[in-house]
Amino acid sequence: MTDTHQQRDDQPISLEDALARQGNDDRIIDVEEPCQQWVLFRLAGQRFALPGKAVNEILSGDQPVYFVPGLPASTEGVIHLRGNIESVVTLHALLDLPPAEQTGMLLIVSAAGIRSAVRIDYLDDVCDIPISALKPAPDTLSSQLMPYVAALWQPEVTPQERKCVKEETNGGSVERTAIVLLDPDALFNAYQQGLG
Amino acid sequence: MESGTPGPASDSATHVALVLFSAGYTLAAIEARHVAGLTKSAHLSRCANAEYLLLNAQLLNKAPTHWLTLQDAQGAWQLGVSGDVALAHIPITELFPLPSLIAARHVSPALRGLTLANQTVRLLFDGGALSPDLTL
Repeated sequence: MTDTHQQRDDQPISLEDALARQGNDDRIIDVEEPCQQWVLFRLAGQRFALPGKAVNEILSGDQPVYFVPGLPASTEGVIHLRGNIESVVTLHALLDLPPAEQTGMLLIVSAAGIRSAVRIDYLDDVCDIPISALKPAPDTLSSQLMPYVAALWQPEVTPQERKCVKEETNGGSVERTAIVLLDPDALFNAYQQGLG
Repeated sequence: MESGTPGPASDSATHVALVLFSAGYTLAAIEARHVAGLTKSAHLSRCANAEYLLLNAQLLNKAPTHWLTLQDAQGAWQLGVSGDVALAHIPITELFPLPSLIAARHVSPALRGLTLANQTVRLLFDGGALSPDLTL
């Protein structure tokens, strides 16, 4: 806003001034905000995500898994995928979550120079999240989870979603839990070092 | 899977000679060049049960039925195995290197790879890296 556009509150703005003010508005609106792709999923009812660049493939959870004796419970075994063998791990123990009871789905994840299938309970979405929307992990996060958290993301509730949730909750409050964005390098490094 | 042929045939460039055995209920194998002999009973002072040595089993499911003679830095020793023991030439296309996370977390540092035989995993161990003195 320039001085020439400043007016006293009690004076109505003329059309000419209004148009001039709009025309001089030289703010640049970045319509292509930098985004990152994330794969959103659930483990033990909690919402997590892994970066899309680390997830090579999403497979149905009913792939035959071959049990390999001599491994911790967090390693289910191996799958035979197009001529290759991939390990299958669960993150529940590493993230201090109760063990899963469903087959869910498998994400083929590459990180820390390692490639492995990771079992998830439920796939929510694959979406682009503006980098500016990512929040650092708060100190209140559990110490078990903290080393593996890259950021948090609080999804915005659209008016349509708000209406749906209000109807579902009989007008109750709309609350959306934050999604924990995981660092796959930290997860695999910890797993390799014997954690989980 | 594991369509290898028993006996001495097969091309050494495309097949690997493996001694197949069981460690308890687990199928396992060692490269044949590491196996110096096979006996029905242990006769060397240095010996170990495969179920314990390869899988760190605290309760043994099966008593050894055969003893493979292997070699380490201290000399000859015997590995007690169960089930049928067979020599097979397995095509290299059926031998899978160990995924990194499996290698990092398996109880045996001598585990090198695996094959899939009739929907069951067979663990491939490095006979040269085994020793009855190995502590898991």
